[in-house]
Amino acid sequence: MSMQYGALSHIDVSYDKKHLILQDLNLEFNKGELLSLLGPSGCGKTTTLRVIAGLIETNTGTFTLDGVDMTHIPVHKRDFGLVFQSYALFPHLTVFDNIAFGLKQRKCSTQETVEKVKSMMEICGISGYEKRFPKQLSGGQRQRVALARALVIEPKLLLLDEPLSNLDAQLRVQMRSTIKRIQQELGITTVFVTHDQEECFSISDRVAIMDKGRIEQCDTPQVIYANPACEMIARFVGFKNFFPISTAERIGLSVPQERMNALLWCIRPEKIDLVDLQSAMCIGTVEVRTYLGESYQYEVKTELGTMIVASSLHPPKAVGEQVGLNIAPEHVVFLDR
Amino acid sequence: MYKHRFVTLIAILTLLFIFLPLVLIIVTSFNSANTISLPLQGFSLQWFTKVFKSRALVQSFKNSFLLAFTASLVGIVIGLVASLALVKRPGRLSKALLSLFLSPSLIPGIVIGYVLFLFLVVKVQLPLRTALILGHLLVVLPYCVRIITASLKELDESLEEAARTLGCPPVKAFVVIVLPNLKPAMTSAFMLSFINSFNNIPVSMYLKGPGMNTLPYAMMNHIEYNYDPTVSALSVMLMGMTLLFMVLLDRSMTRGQAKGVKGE
Repeated sequence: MSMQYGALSHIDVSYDKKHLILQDLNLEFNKGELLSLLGPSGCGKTTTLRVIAGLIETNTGTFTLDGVDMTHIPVHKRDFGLVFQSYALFPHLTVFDNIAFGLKQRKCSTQETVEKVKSMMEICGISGYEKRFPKQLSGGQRQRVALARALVIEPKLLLLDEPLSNLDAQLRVQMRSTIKRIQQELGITTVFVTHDQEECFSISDRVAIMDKGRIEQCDTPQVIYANPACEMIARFVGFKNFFPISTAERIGLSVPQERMNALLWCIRPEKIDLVDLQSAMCIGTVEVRTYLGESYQYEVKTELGTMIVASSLHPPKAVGEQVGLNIAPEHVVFLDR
Repeated sequence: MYKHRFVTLIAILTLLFIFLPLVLIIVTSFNSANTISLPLQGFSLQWFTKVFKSRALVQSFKNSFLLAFTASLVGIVIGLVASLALVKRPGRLSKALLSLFLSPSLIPGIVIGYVLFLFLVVKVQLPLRTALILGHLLVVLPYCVRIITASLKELDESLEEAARTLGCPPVKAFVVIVLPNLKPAMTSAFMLSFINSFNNIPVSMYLKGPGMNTLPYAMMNHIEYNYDPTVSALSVMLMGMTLLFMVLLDRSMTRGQAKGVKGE
């Protein structure tokens, strides 16, 4: 249905010729999709974005877009819109001149520039702020100006480098839906870098999870959420209980034939049920209880080790109390690494 | 706020200590008496006209002005280039280089003057004017490097990158985005350099010579032979000039914000 639009293949990047920041990185994206790069800090996601933007030279590998080899095309000839984490608005220029900057480089006529800037400001919801300077804007407004500035040049790609990390929590949720709306309205292929799993999953068509300069899994948020490819990703998407595969039998959990080679099994805290002692798969003692609002989180000491259980059971179990635990087999995920 | 009678007293005394000599100079410059003295005898502007009649003072003022202007201008250019290199390529080497650039401000001016005299005047036999410019360049360079480096460090590196992603080639990005944002720093570096070069005595002491005197020296010479208020009058004019500089400096520093307020 969707076709491949851009691709990074076999990209290596290192700053000091000793440590590779990116190793043999392969990534493809489709026209019109919002692809996120997600991972802990230092995983290479921003580096990947900067490789796409052309701000970093690669040691080896190629980057193609729409069938054209872009690997050695300089930044200013790429026609990509990049929104920086710091927004990087030009402090000495007004909002209007900031947004018009890219059009001026393209020698647009004054009238065309005014029209394009005005319409982009309307799309981004900052009409009326033309004469302000960046210093006089709130964080959210700056964000919108940065977005408008990147979009007004009608870029082939929109690149967003942690654009929401400098906003407060409420604004962040609002801005991410704004970004998603604009991205869909303009149908622009977007690469979005973030370290926030919830933010990422809520707006992405596909997510590439990175760790130590590699892409560990690249799929739709739904697939990643249900079937994380490795322990790192499983932890990232909320799995908290990890046990060696050998322990599965001890609590009567059967390992499917095709997953015999797995090393670990894991389960989310909310998928473990507190049951009475007789029908339990295993028994443990509550060691710590934390109040989460909707539910309680228990750390239960069992023969397998500590299990993290989230339960809204009422009345709640007390610390020191013996509890029975039931693990729903259909929610258990087996991991190879 | 910390309020106490004793503290207030000290503040007043300090202010008096700073301003009383200045007030004395201003007052005596308008005195009609032939020597720098109190009490006042009458009001007169003759000492001001006398300043302009003294060839030594006028010529040395021109010398000092040109010297300060040239040294500051060259200092700014070198300071800018040096700061770019120091900030854009951080590392142990640039740290060492930064201290090297700042070192002239730690060495007594009298030593710099002496060394330059031995090297530039005696050994290389440069013309006095050139030697003076080089000497003053050493005086102003630490200010230029320090101020511009600080401002460059504050500047978001992504600004230049943002300009490039928007279609601006690297050199143009520097000129249209980075330079305008360094303007306040460059202006204040220039002003500070100018004032310091203009006031400098120790370095000039060794490098001046026949037909090439600087204003501070001409003033000392004048006082030695004529103890009249001409120098007071000149000092008042110099204070006026410095004040004007300070106002201009303040304007250029706050221009960005002032522009902003208008847009509000």
